[in-house]
Amino acid sequence: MGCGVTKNNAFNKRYDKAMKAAVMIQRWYRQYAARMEMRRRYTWNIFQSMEYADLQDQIKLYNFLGYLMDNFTPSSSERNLISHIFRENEVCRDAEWERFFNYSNIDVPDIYSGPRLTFPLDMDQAAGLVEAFKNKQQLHSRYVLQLLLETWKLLRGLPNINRVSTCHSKEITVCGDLHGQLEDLLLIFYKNGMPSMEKPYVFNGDYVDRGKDSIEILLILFAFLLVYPGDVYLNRGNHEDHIINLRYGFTKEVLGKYKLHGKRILKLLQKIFSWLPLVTVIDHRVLIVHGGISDTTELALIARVDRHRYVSAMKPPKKKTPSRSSLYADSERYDEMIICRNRTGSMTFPKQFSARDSFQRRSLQDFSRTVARTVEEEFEVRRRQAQFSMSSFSQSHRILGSVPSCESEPDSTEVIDTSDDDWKQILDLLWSDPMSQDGCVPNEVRGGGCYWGPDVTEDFLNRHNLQLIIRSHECKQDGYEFCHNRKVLTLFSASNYYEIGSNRGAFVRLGPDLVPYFVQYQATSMIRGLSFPQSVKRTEHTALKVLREQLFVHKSDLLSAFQELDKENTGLICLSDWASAIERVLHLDLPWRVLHPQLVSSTTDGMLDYHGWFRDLALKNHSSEYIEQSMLETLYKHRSTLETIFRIVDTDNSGLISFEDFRQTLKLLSAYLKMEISDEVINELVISTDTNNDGSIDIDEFMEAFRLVDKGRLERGKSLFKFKQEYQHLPQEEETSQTADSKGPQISQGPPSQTAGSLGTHAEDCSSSQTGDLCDISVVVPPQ
Amino acid sequence: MAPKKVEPKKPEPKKPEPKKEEAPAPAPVPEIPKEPALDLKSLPLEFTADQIEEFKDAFTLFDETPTGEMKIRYSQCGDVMRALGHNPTNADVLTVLGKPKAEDMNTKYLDFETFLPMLQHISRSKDQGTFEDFVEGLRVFDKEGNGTVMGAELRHVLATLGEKMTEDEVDRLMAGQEDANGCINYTSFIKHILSG
Repeated sequence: MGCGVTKNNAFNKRYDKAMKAAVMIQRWYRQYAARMEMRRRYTWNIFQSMEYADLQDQIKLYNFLGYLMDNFTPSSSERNLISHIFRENEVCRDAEWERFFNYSNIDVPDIYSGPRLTFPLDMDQAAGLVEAFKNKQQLHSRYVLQLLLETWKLLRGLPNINRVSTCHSKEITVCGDLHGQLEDLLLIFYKNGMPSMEKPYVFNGDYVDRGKDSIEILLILFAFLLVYPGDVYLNRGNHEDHIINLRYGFTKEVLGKYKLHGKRILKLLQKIFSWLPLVTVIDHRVLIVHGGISDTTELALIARVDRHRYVSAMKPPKKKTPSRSSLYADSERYDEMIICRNRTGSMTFPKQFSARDSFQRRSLQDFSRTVARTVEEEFEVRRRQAQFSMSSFSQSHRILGSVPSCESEPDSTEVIDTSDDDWKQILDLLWSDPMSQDGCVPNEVRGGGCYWGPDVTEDFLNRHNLQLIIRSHECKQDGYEFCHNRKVLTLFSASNYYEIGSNRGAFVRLGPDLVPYFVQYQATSMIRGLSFPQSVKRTEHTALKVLREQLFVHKSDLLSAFQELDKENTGLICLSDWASAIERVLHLDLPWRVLHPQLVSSTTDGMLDYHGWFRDLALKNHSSEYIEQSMLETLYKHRSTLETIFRIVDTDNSGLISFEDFRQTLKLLSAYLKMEISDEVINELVISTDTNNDGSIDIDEFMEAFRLVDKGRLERGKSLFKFKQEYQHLPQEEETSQTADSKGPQISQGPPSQTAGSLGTHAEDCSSSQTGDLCDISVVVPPQ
Repeated sequence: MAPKKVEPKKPEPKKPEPKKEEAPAPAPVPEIPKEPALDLKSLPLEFTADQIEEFKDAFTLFDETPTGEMKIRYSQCGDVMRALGHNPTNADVLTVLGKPKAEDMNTKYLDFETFLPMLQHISRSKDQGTFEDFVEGLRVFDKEGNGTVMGAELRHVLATLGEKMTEDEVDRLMAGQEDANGCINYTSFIKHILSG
């Protein structure tokens, strides 16, 4: 027995060791996976709350415009600026518009190698268009205008409610938001086939903005619409709106790609958007709409509205009152004021929400505290505006300048209320979000539409004999999500929406049984070669960077909150206080204690030196001493408002605005923010950005100065770029230096001008260790 | 500040009598010692208020209930504990949950108060494994004594021994680690995994 026993023992020992090793590794792995999962989750939360913060930027813009209308003085220079902002809308009949959009005198040069379309379009041409865009070609503006004109004509004949049927055993494919991400549309076509008579599609809005190929997506969808008008259905989304486009990138994309005819293309698209149908109904059973519903949504009413009068969420249609008729020049201005008045309603509905929902549902009260106005002031402003709008037309009319003489409208003296109701119906369809509690409350986060609860869904479905609502409008991590007892489905088709790896996209197929079949996907060209943990880390890195930016933007508020807690002025606070102070100031409902290792590089005895911490987040101002820290911070905070105003003011879309307009905009903004901005400072800013030396400011260059440059990401971006070059078949996604109205700080790929060349003077090298990924953030202000 | 002694609610479901272990796996694996019934009620909580706040944050991250009820599924319990830096085996987690049935794992929920004492219990065991432990363990598979192990063998072991990993999990763990011959240099492998 000697030999056998010894052998057995040795074997046992080895086996034991192997087991132990296995168990150890497995145990370790599971912990690692759990930590990854946690990071993935809070990264998602960060992105969602950043989106919320971004929406607040939009509200800032509305507030600023409201302020302008309320407070302008009749000095001549400001009058020009304001009339710039609220310039009159041209009024023409459709026939005149068709002349304006005439494409026939646009020549296509011989060297143009893109698709040459002939109308009526056929399937081959539509497929050819897809192929061309896949190969990064651009459609010539002549064909763009032609295609758009045909689309416009077709849309004008469509009803508000598309009605589709799954008879003939057709499966209908429904897609959600695409947001200019062409890669996702191509992926959908690849997985599911292109639209055809056998393959009907419904697209649920938000085709444009944020992504860089919005126009290509539109052209493809419209082409298929023209070829298969009975099998392609397009719903309008809230981003099919030219004022939203100004802020979120579509306008800029078109003007950049079509320098000569971009403006015309945009104008035509403005009309097309307003003619897009509002909802689609499948088999009288399934409703497809971009945003959602409210407790007053009524399909019979929807069917009757004049949808094309609702050009933009920011501009309700004109009311038919006599006082308006002779003051046509004021119409936009009046419309703006109506917006503000309508939005008073949402401010009177503060609601107690559970902690979980709270970040989604900040009332404007909370928000406006972080802007320089109190709620009372807001109400006062609105009241004054309301009075102003009803009584002082002639006064404003004089101040704004001359007015073309128009015939008074032949209608009666009554204010017709239906347009208000209709407008609300449409806003609700395009802007609403579901919530888990019963009821229906105004959607203060978005500033339009409402939050609707499961009881409203139940009631709505019963009233209309429907069984399911498919909507989009909100990004979901897995591309789709059910709620309200599986009666509401959110479908989102733009993968990697916040960042590479942040979420999947999905589309759904419905057969005659109307049972949804989901396909999820993620455009992976950039993450091929990255392991799962690497892509989680990348996403997390971006999220944290954006989060740090928010912290930076609220530095002064945070500092006061910390100092309040640090009564003895030691400069130190404990982590718990740090977390609660941040939550109080930012209201983002994020797990700060879990995040703190990523945001705070070191503590001693659990106490944080908050001044030192702020230094890590500080601006590195390399230019003049005239522009002080707090000024830059404030301007940075409102950069997207600034930029949007600049773009509105840039009436010829040249990308340049005059010294004077620039100056006035800054002055107005500073007055609004109750912040002193002296002429020296403005001149300083102007001089430092006027690289053309011709008295005009390049908007892009000015906004360049307000990016937060993250050197670490720059390095990573460069190495990724190199990585891409090794894989030729990857689509060349250029990381353009998008301006601040996009998702967040981006890197710049190569200096656009001489000033950017001096970028090297900022930010120390960042260490690449995990917690050391706190890179120095600096605002690059070009040196004198 | 010392936390108040929390009276933990009876964890749901009712703690069953410890089941008899199934017939032991074929020798020579040693028998797993039977544990006495876990009595979490009598466990004093030693966490500080700050720590509890942090645990709450993490717990909330995993709360998937539509109305944010601060509840997680049984199947998530282990993940939350691990996310908080502890290292229980799956068996540990099941024990602390009161040895629930397999189908309960995805259908039953626990709230934060019930979770805390479980976390407390788990946090007691401190064996995390050092770098040397891992190296020693993997050396077992180093047939040629040259610092490498066969990737395939490691995969096999991880998927068949101990608390078996799924193919997906193994893939994730080993992504990019094997060289052209399918070998893994285990010291660098361990360095890689320990660096998170």
